[in-house]
Amino acid sequence: MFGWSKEQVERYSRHIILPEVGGKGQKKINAAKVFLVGAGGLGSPVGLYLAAAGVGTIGICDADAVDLSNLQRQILHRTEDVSRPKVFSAKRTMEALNPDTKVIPYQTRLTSENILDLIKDYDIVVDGSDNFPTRYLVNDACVFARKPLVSGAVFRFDGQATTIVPYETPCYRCLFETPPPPGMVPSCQEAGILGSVVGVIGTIQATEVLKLILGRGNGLKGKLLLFDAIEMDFRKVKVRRNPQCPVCGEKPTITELIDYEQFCALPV
Amino acid sequence: MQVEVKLFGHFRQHLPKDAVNGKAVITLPEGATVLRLLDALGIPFEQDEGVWMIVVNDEERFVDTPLKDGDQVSLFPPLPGG
Repeated sequence: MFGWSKEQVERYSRHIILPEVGGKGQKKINAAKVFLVGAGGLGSPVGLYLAAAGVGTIGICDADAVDLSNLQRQILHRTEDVSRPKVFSAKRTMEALNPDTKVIPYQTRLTSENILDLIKDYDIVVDGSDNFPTRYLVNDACVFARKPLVSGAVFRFDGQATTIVPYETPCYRCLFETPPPPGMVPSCQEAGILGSVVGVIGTIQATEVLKLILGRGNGLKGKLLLFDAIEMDFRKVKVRRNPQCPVCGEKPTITELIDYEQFCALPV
Repeated sequence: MQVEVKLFGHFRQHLPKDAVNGKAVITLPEGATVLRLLDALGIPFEQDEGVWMIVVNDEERFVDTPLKDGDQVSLFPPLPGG
């Protein structure tokens, strides 16, 4: 059936039995190519669930090495991985979970120079980055390349997620037009993050990716999910495309990718 | 009139001291806009312009939106972490 081995039929049986997935849907999952930005807090649950689901190819991009302080939430990595590149432990963990999944590691920082080339062979991009320059770069690149983007972000006890289909739903800049000025928003390194919050948001991102692959439901298209772990409050806010959006609006003013990091690093 | 305010991300630091469960009730003059509310909370608007989302009763709104008694207002900045 569908060219699967007996083991594969058994591995994916709980998917195949779902009428919304079935053999055809599982085949789509097995053929899908997903690019993960970040092998950290969000990238961990996204990578694990997508590998477990049998996503055929997962590209994962992260320039960093595993730090002991990452292990409180970044469940792709183990204690013995400290000081090693994150993308390598990510690949090992995902491929050990499911040998059907091919994981391609990119140990590099995304820039305006490399991002379009890196994402071009993938169907869907998942943003699990930990900084605003990358977040805006990924959004703009996905709009330019017309790639669906599943965005997630966290801070202390709060989380956000949305699914962006360029020119169909609002993009990240329709919601938050420009990056906050450097220094205005503390990073998780400075402000802290409850470990399991990334699990909640990352798992929602993985679910959105699988539904995009299957073509099922609207989920977070045109909606921003807001999660408050302290109150265990989930809200979905309807968001609209901004006709004046600088990247996907009627008269875009941003027509080239921007490396905000370099800009921010300039002396004031 | 009174509106209920909920703040997210680093905006939480602007909640009044008597806030309970991350929410506060703010008294404003009749017809006050979101901008007037930001002023009451001590959130500098110019500095943050364009980098946050204003939600009134689960709908995206803007700084010049007039508020009415009982409105639930939430302010969401983009979150940095991953």
